[in-house]
Amino acid sequence: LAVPRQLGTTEQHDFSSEDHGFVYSQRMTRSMFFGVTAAALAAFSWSLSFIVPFVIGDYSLFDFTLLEFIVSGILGVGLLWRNAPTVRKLKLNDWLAGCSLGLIGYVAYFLAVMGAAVYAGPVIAPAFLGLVPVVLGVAGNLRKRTVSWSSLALPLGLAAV
Amino acid sequence: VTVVGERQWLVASGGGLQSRSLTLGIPLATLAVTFWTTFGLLNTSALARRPNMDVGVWTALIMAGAGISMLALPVGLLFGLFEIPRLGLHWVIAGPLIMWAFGLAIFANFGGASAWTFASQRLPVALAAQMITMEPISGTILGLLVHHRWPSVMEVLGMIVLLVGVIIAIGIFSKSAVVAHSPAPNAPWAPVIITAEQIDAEIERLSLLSAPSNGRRSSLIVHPSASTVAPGLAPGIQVSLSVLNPGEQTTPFRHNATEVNFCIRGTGYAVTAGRRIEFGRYDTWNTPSFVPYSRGNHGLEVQACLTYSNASLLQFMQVYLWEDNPSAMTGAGAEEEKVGTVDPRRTSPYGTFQIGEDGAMLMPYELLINPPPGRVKTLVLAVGEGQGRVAETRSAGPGLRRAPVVFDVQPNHRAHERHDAELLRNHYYPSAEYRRSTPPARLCRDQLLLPRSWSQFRGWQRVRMEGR
Repeated sequence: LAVPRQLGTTEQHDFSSEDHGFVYSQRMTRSMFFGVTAAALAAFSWSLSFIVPFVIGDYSLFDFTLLEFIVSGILGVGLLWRNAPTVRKLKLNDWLAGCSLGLIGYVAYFLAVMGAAVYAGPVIAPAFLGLVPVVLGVAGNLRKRTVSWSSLALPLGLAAV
Repeated sequence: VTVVGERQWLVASGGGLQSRSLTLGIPLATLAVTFWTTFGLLNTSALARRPNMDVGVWTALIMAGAGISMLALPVGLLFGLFEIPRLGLHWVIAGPLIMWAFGLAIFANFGGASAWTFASQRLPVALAAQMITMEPISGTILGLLVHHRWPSVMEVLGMIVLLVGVIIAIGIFSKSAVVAHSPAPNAPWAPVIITAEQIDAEIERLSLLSAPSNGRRSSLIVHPSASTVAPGLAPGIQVSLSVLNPGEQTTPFRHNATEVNFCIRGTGYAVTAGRRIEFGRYDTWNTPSFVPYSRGNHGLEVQACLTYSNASLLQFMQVYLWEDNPSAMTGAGAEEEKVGTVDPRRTSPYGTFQIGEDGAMLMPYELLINPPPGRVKTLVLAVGEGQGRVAETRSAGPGLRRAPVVFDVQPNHRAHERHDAELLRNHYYPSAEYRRSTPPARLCRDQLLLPRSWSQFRGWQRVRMEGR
């Protein structure tokens, strides 16, 4: 996925100019801006699943899931094709892990989210999903304690309220 | 969303969908949270067990896996989960279904993952972790739009309290993550290819610019993974392309980086430390650290040189020093003068002596901060020099390529030199046995770090890197 930058974008190698720092700091903030925009776009694209049940007419969520994952499966296979030398080195174990992760994290999750959007409404369903990072953090902390539970009391209390 | 949503919402409510049924909704939402959390934990541990896994390939594998699980189609048909057999897939009815399915597959499953990877490479860990709270916010807004209603006061308050809690919690977790994690694995830069056409185009562009005040028409060739503080083509290595038009000359310059210069077009001369070097195409010479140098073009065509230096490493360490138009232009004379005169304050009366049984030495601080200068010497390798012998060393058998190294032997650094040579042998130039057992891709990464010797430019060559 890495695309080499074109040679034309290189900068003038001019040591005498004093605006080196300025140029670089400007580039830093620009890169931050692109980062925030990309993250917002990703979050927006993922949140679209909350409205899918209401825009597909009489079709069921299963119809939608079937179509969506056939398309994304083809995309995935296409990407694997492009990286054929790396893919050839993958073991059966890697394939099994990838497939089960796809089933849990994409298909099953997607069906549950769309079901929640239908039955729990437009506020409660996203609110529950908003808790995921906290649940992940707590699960990680249970496995390998890195944060004291007392420091989490306030934020977890707020979320619970 | 609003237009489609309005029409479809009427259809959906007419179709008998219960808008609110929390007894089913909350378990489903909990299930969704469970799936995502399980995915997150399993994914982290799966990637931890595969430190060399390419992130793009991994994402593609998961997407393909999700697609493969659609082979469970007959089970769904058995339970009558699908409406497609009844409704068909005519564009008139199925238009929104098809559009949204394609849209989400491309935009959310693939685009979302790529955008998230892109973002997490550019944002500090703490901020990237916080950005995920945009998802429930955006989901709520989109949901309310589709339902055509405003949120109630309680809902707004609840959401704000929840999000504040989540944001604080993420802050605590992401701060701890930095401490808890083991050192990050090395992330070697992906190979990039700068083609001859690109280099030629840049030479032309530089030659057409109006000459800068210092005369140096020069561009850096920078790898996309390079840090802005230390722009280089490989970690720690700066590569620049310098162009001079006929009759032009640069003003003197010096820096504490060591350069290897390589002429790729035209002819000219370089003056380093007072020594004048006439060079032509494919001649190679080095410029020692902190020696004033300038370059001129007395030929008839545009001159272009590639310069490889350790400036990026010095910049990364914040110790890069440079001087435009250094006053001591006459050469290393000024530096050497200081060596001759002995300043009593700079000489320790105790000298360097051994301490302990293992051979550790105690060096006076005066010597440490002001060591005697090593010999600085410019070495020139003209085209054709040693050609036969180099060709001899390069033909080492099928599937085996030797890369000879040009280096300077410092007479007063015998011990160091042996050590360096050993280091080179073990780390940069693995033994023939090792090379035979290693796929070519592994070797090329090392070889690309080196300035290419003139002999490689005598033709073209096919290099395989990571399957490319």
